[in-house]
Amino acid sequence: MKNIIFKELKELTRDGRFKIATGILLILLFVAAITGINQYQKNNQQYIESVDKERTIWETQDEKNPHSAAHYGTYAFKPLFALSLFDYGVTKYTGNSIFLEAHNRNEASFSEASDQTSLARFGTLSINFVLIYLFPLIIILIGYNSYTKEFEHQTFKLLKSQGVHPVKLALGKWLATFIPVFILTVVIFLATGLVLSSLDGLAFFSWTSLLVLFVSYSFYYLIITTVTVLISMWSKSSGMSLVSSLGVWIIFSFITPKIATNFANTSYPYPSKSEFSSRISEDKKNGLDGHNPWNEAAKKLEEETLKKYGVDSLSQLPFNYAGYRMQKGEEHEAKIYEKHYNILNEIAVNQNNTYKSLSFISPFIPVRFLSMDITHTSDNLHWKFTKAAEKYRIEKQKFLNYDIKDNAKKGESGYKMSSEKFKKLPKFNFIPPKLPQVLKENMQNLLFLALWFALPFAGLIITSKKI
Amino acid sequence: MFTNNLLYEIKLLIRSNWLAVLLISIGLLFTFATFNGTKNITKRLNDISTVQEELYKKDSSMLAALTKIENGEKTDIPYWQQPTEPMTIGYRHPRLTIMHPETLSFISTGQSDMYTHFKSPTVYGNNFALDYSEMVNPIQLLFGNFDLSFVIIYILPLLVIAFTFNILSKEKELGTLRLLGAQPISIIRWLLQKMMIRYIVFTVITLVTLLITISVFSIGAFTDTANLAGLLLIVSGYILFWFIVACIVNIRVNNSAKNALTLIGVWLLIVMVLPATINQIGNSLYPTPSRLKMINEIRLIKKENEEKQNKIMDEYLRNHPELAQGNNEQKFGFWHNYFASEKVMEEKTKPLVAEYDLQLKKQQGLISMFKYVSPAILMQQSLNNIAGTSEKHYNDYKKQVFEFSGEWRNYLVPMLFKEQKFSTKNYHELPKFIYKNRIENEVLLNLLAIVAISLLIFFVLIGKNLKDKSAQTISI
Repeated sequence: MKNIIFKELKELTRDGRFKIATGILLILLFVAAITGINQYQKNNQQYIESVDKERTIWETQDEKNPHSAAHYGTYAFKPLFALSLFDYGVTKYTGNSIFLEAHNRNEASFSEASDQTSLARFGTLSINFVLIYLFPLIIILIGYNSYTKEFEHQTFKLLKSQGVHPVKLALGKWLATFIPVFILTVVIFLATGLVLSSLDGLAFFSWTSLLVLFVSYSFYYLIITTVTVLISMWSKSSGMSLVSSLGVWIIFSFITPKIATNFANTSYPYPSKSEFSSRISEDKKNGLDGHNPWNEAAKKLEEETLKKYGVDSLSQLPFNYAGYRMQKGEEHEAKIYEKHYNILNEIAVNQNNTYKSLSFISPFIPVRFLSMDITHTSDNLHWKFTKAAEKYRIEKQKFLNYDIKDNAKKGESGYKMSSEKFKKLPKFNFIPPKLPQVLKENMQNLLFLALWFALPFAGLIITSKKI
Repeated sequence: MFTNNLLYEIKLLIRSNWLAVLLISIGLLFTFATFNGTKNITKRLNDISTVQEELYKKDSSMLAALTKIENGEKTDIPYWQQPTEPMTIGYRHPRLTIMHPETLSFISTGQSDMYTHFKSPTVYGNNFALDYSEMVNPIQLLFGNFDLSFVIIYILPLLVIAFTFNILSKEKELGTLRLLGAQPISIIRWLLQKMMIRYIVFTVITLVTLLITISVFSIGAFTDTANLAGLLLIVSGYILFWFIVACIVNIRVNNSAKNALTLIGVWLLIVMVLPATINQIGNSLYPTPSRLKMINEIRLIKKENEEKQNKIMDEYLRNHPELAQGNNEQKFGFWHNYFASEKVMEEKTKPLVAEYDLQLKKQQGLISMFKYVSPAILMQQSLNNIAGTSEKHYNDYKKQVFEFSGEWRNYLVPMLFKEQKFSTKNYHELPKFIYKNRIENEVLLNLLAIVAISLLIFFVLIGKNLKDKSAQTISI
């Protein structure tokens, strides 16, 4: 087997096509890394500055009515994670800031993609772009004729007559196809890790995550290698083998994900923004409005509160009722938002499951999802961020409303909170999920990858014995 | 000789499975893509009609209330929501600014999955910084749609490659090239004729299938003959480009496996690598300023305004006009202050917004310069232009909405200052928004560019072989 591997590798090193292809890919990776680092540093700097500035704006407010401050609002900014430099994921499409104000749950607005030209839809040259789309092509380039060339040069019979065990031959060729790509991958991940760890101000960089990412990609390459060698075994000519392997690559990386988009869209359509907001305002209409003391829910709350404290009128309450009502209204509205956003989240999860269920046609899909999750650039992470921001918004409202409740005198309309107190509002801090949790959430993807490896590999061993 | 070649080629094509494979694959791909495209349009139209219905309902009840008030009857509407107040109309009853799909929108999703197609600009609020994004799962934006534009840009070239990669090399590998060399025609001419015949067959099949699928799914497209003709022409041009590349590779490389590899390499370069690299470089050279920065600056301007005017409660009152005291004088004061500070705000943020426009224009400029490097970019731009879904269309739509919001405000604000009441008569005079596709359709220019690029590489790379009439320039 060792001989087979060495022979194949020697042939490969003599092959000009392989050298050219690898050279081009390395240049692309270099461009991707340089521009990626440049962009990351710029964006991260802006993120840090924005967080600081926004906080200063909040803390240096003049004394004002807390509810006025609640309407004035603040922003929650999504941190830029170190590995996003490796895989941009959906960050370009999600927006990275959420306006947190009274009564309204806002969405992250201003996605980068909407500030760019439509060229962005071709994809962006990132390290992950090269690794996930182009590296499989190197494998195909190396492996498409691993068997067919033996058939075409009629050396296969010669090999057999020498008593080479068919499984050993298959494994030899399989390893010989995989090893060059594996070495390249090791070098690239190592370089990425070294570059990342030497950069300043990177948020949440971890070698373990990078290692898991490396294992996932290597596993994907193993799958592509197995499929390529298997196709070569089945093909009659190198040309056919090449065309079939490329066909498979196109189905894996382009056709299946796009078909999945249409399936997901049909089965679980998203509401339009206006539809979504009109559903929310419909629900809000019937509920408690913190501003309106005359609606039914407000009257009910009034009765309940009086009963709870055993008093006859609001003036006898030990706190400012207006602030209390405002907070109750806020809590009620938050629940409405939670309900509708949960519905939306469910649609998103169902849509993503549509993609994931098509993983049986394409191992590209589980790797793509896994990669985004590990690098914290997935929509899953974005949901977590929006939920954290909403939680913070509710806490912030409570902080402000309770200030009215506890400090404003009854009937005082011009109550103002001292400017010092604004500083006491805790800061928003978002921490992404840890790797074990990410992996736990990706069990299905891992399972699909394992299956994608096991089945073609079994096919490879069985076919090798038959030819 | 040409007739012989033609007859032989047609016989060959009919006998081999190629024609069947081509017909089936193009048929299936086009059907699925057109079906998806029309479905997306239907969803867009449904969304639009839902909001239109809502507006109609709201308008009807508003008109009913107006008539009641005009007839001196009482309504149970609180005073701050009375439709006789111009500001109530301006804020609570905005008009819809709808961007209807173009006749051929189904051919390319373009940017249409990212942006909304209707907006309701109100008389106040930061209309210049409205968010136009639509609710969509970002994963969908990442992977993209299976539409005609995807099939044409990505898959058609692959079919051309599969159809042509071994035309010459096969003859060499089968040993029949020597036989051909003995014929009274140069091998180059023989190959060119063969390519031309295949090009015609391929293009005819593609265009006819395209027309059939369009007539099945979107018969209305035939009313827009100019754009439909543009589509057919640009697709023919794109196919021509790939045939010429295949022809060059056949002559230059002339080994089936190597031909296929080279052609796939070219495909990768043209369709994937170059656009992605240009995009990345464009973003690095002309990054649109961070929106985070803009948020900060707008907030700072707001803060400055607040401090200057010492009217902290303004913001509060703006959101809760019901809490402002009821007399007209005070309301007038509130709105007067508001519009004054809004004006200051708009003036101050103008340079910020302009900076975004400028960077985006620079990015677009970079693309228009580099689009000639890759016919795939030219195709994407052309198809989006025909479909009316390019970023230029959406930016222009934003501009039109902004212009309309000015019109809306200019109609209502003077009424406020003149203390005029809004009436049913005014309702019929309200400004209406009609979206106009003002983007120049550069399809013919792009077509010219594709043909010019094709001819240029053709003559530069195999011009020498063409001059030499003998077969010697190709290694037999």
